Parts: sequence; structure tokens; C-alpha cells
Amino acid sequence: MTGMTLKVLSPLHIGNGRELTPLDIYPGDGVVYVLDTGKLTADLINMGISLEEILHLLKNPPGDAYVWKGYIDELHLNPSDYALYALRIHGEPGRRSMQIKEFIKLNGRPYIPGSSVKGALRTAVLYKALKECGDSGTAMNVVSGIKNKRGQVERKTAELAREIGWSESLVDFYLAKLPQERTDGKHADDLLEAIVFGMESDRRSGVKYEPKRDPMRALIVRDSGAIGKKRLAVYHVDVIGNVQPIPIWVEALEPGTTAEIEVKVDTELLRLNSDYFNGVLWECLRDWGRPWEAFETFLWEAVEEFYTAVRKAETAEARKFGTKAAEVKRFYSSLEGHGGHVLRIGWGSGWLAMTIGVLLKENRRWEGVRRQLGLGQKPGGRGLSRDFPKTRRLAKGMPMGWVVLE
Amino acid sequence: MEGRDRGFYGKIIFTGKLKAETGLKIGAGRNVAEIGGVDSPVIRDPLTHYPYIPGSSLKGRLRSLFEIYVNSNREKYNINTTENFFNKNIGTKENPINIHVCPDYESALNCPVCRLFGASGDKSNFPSRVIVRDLHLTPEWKGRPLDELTEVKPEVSIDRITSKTNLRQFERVVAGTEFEFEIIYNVERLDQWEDDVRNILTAMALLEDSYLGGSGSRGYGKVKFEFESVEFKTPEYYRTGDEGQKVKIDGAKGKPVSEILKNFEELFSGVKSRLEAG
Ligand SMILES: [Zn+2]
Repeated sequence: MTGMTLKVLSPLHIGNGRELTPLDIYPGDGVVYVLDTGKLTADLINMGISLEEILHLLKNPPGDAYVWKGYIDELHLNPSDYALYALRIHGEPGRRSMQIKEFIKLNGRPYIPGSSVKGALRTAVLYKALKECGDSGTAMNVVSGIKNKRGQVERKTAELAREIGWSESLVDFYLAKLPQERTDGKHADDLLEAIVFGMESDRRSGVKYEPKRDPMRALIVRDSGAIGKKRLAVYHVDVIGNVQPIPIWVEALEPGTTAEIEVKVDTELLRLNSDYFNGVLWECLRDWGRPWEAFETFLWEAVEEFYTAVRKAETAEARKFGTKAAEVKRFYSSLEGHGGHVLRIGWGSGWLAMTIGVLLKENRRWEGVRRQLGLGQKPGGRGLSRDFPKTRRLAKGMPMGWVVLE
Repeated sequence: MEGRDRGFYGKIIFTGKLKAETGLKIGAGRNVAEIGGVDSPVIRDPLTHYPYIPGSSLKGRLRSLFEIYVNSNREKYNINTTENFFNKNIGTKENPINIHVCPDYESALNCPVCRLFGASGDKSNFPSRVIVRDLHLTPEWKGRPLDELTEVKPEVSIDRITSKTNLRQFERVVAGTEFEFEIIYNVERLDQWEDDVRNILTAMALLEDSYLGGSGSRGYGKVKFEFESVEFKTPEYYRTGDEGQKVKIDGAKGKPVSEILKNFEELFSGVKSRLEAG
């Protein structure tokens, strides 16, 4: 399964942390030009405009923030002469200003980072391992076998194993435990990932995550090749469920875009380190026979099962998309029975796809934990929303970031 | 006694380019990240500040890939199948890192891995027949501004319960960067050089399908070799400096590893007849 093709099914944005501002662009008719401001400034100066004036305007933009547009229109210049590249725009551009989240690029050309795809595969594997082998018995056995450097089981590790044993399932145990931990929400999953993927003895918390013991190490996903800039467009993103939405624009790959990406399982690495992997996932793979041989099948089944569950959960709550509900439903039914491996990556893919939310929501403890973690904060810190996830993002009526690997 | 059966029949020298097809992360091994800084910056030449690849990194990687290959093809290499091929733990008991090292000179001499890459066994050492020089940027890449040679890439990890994000920054050498490589093989045994050279090429081919440096599972470190020259320097050349005592393999220029392997017989026929002539 080395070379695969990733095809974009709905607008995909993967950010690089930067934004294009009104000082970088010229909003045209259905097109946004990203300007070569150096060339433009040089020409303006040649035409007799003082650099001081330009700098003054850039620092103190008038009511209309598109400073360059003023010059280009007044002097009847052709914006495409000054464009580094042009982006089609889906939805309305900002009338007086807009900030566009930039797509990640290498040497100026967009690409899909392997880490985005691998992260999505990992979530699916976590889901399937928990669903299939996350019973308290298996998890307790796995944890109780973790020894320290002197070959002994730490007191904390034994306690942890016992606690898991008393619960209904690993997820149930975890949701009972989380409220007792002080977590900033950025590491709420640490202990769970340790138990599922691979761990080492730890005095303080019983066990802690150890990447060397994680079979996912054998899954290699490389960055995609460069994608033509022509496939990028600007999308106005609708944020549904927010009272006063701040308008958001993103550079995103249009549906139909394809990229070549290498996805590979290093079976030999799995086989050679077979005795060394120790999480619930490895235990789960053992049920399938030789774990190193089962890994790949498990992976793709996980993708199928997890993203089908995400799709179903989203479809079931389609009414939360308000006036766009019908469109969203139509999009999701178009994914049904789609060939290849359908998954969701990138920005705006939402809590359900980025977490094991589908499993958490089924648990009676979840709502309490959610409140404890402060998820679903209302704007301005006015308490928590009753509905979680509260906001949903759509680009041109489509849930973002759905792709297929084939 | 060490050095028995060691002869010197010349050197085969491979040079060419190693191209990073994806970003390359060969870290300076600084483990503690500065707060707000970059995790594991790339390794640089202390004088010029250009990134480079230590020859030992490349050699170590070639060895470990070839070890795995040999282990999976034991019969072909006449390896005892009852013993564990990865016989030496260079890690700790809790954190084992198992590698293959022949324990003595005799077994190393008959082992495709150790006689190429060397073995420091418990009883005696077997010196490596392969030397890998540090890989520095090609002149073309040295002409570029330093800050265009590497990039700092943010990596986002997402908490799988809350969907909150953690951001870390990594430095890597940009995709496309080209380094010059030089690999030297010492011909010590007339009955082994051919297999040895094939094995070096096999290890190089294996590396192209694997990765060099860190975070390979995230797609870093895909590399490709392109040969510039393959030369055989006879002992006579080392005595006289006479260019006529070198055998140049003309067909190697610009070729990838797979081509050299495929046309091995033809390409190395000159070297062979020279060695057989004595
Ligand atoms: Zn050996």
C-alpha cells in the first residue's frame, strides 16, 4: 500500500498559522489576488507616489482596509499584473476587510502533511481498540503486567490496574478518573493513550506513554507531493451555532483535488519488536493472530468503522446545521458506500472527528466530565452551552475536510 | 590474532548526491527543548553553520536496515537459524535496543553484516571495510542563503478527548536539499568483494524505501542517491599515483542505485578483470 492517492471530497484547510491580511490582497470579482507588494510599491514610486504616503496609509489604513485596492483602482492598474497568485472565492469577500487563513505550503506550493493524515488514522485506531478490546478485563491485565526497571510492579501501577478492573470499561474508568486529575485539557488523553498504545511504569501515575512501545510507530505516512496552486480557493466559512459570528475565510483545496501520498506499514519493525509492544492495541491485534500481519487490516477497518460512526453522528444531528441541514445530509449520504478509505482531516473537522467523542457521548459520565473540563464555553465566558459541540463550520454548505485515500 | 587474512587489494570509491525528497530531521541531539524555542534543531557544521549529515548517521542507518534484511533472508546468507540474530542489547534491560554483532573475528569474517560494517565483539574486533564520509551540501546548495536551507515546521497534536491543540516547533532541512556523499570500500578479500559491494548497494536501496533521520513515521527523511562516479583504485595507484592505475566505471554517472545493481556484472567487469589479473 505504498503510493496512495488522496482525493479531496469537501473543502480542506490545513493552516500554517499565518493569515493573509487586507495589506496582502486585492479583492476582485470572484477572485482574490495575493499581491507582490514589493513590485507594486516599486511601480507606484516610479509613477510619482511618495513612499512616505504609502507607508502612512499602510500604518493607518482608511475606513476601507484594502490600501492597495485604492491605488490600483485609481491608477487603472491591472491587479493580475501584480499577483503572486489568484484565488477563486466561494462566498462573499469581506467588504471592507478580510483575513484569510493560509494553507500550509512548501516552497510556495501547498501540500498535505503526513502528520495530518497519520493523526486521523491514529484517532480511528484508538476508537477501534477501545471499542473492541477496551473491556475492563483486558485493560486491567495489560496494565498489571507493566513492571519497573527492577522488574517489579509499582504500587501505583497495581492500584491503577485494580481501579480499571472495577470499572465497566476502560472508557468508563477514564471518565470517572478525569475529573480527579488537574488537566488543562491539552493532555486529557495522556493516560488513555498510554494504556492503549504503549506504556512504561511510572511511580506517580502508574504508567506513562512510551512512544517506543507504540506499534503506530510502524505506520509511516509521508508528506504529499506538491499540489498545484490552482487547486486552492478562498472559502467563506459559515459558523453555525454562534450568535454573533466573526467572519472567517480560509485558503482551502477544492473538492476533486488529488495528491500523491505514501502510506506504509513497516511489518518487519512490528515483528521484531513484538515482545516490546504492550498496550491494549497490541493485545487486541494478538486476538487476530500474528499482530504484525493483522495490523494493516485492523487499521483500515478502524478507519471504516470510525468515520462511518462520525458520519452517522453528524447526520443524526443534522438539524443543528439549521437552514443548511438538508445540504449537509445530502453531502453525508453522498459519502455512503464510497470506495476507498474515507476519513476526515484538517481544520474545521470538529470535535467528533478529532476525538473519540462518538464513544464518550454514549457514556453516562460524559456530560459531567464535559462540564468539568469546561468544554463548550459560551462566548465571553458566560457559562457553558447545553449543547456540545456548540458550533459547526461549513464551507459552501459542506462539512470540511473529508477526503478519500485510495 | 587480529588482522589475519586481511589483505589490501585496493579501494572502490563511490561518490554522488544524496537528495532529501522530503524534509530531513537529523537532530543535534539536544533533548531538552528551550521554552518557546525549537525542539531538536538540525545538526550544523560549527564553522559554516551549514546543515550536514554525519557519515556515522548514514552508516548506522545502512547497517541497521541491512541487518534486518539479512535476518529475514537467513538461509540465503547461511545464518544459524536457531540463534537470535539480534544478539547484543546496547540499551538497558528495561529498554532493550537489540542489534547484531558477531562475537569474534572468525564469525564476523563470514557474516555479511559485520565484515562490511565492522564488529566490536567481546573477544576480538573486526574492523569495518566501509568508510562513510560526512555528507556536506552540494556547491549549488551552499550558494543559497542559510535561512532557506531549513524550515521550522509547526506540528500540531490534538487531544483526543477535548480536541484542544498542542503546538510544537521542529526544524528540518527543506525537501530537495542535496548533499554530496562519498563511500569507500576496502577490498580485503578477493572472494568477498563482489558480494560486499552488492550488499552496500542493497543497503542503499533499502534506505531509499525507508528513511534517514528522525520522525520517519511522520514522513520525514525520504532520500534518494544519485551516483557521480564509481572508481577502483589499485594498490599500484597508491604506490605510484599513476592515474592509469585507476579503473573508472563510466556507466555509473547520473545513475540511481537500482540501475547500478541491475547492471552490476557489466559495470564492474573492468574491476573484476583487474582484480583477477592480480
Ligand atoms: Zn555479524
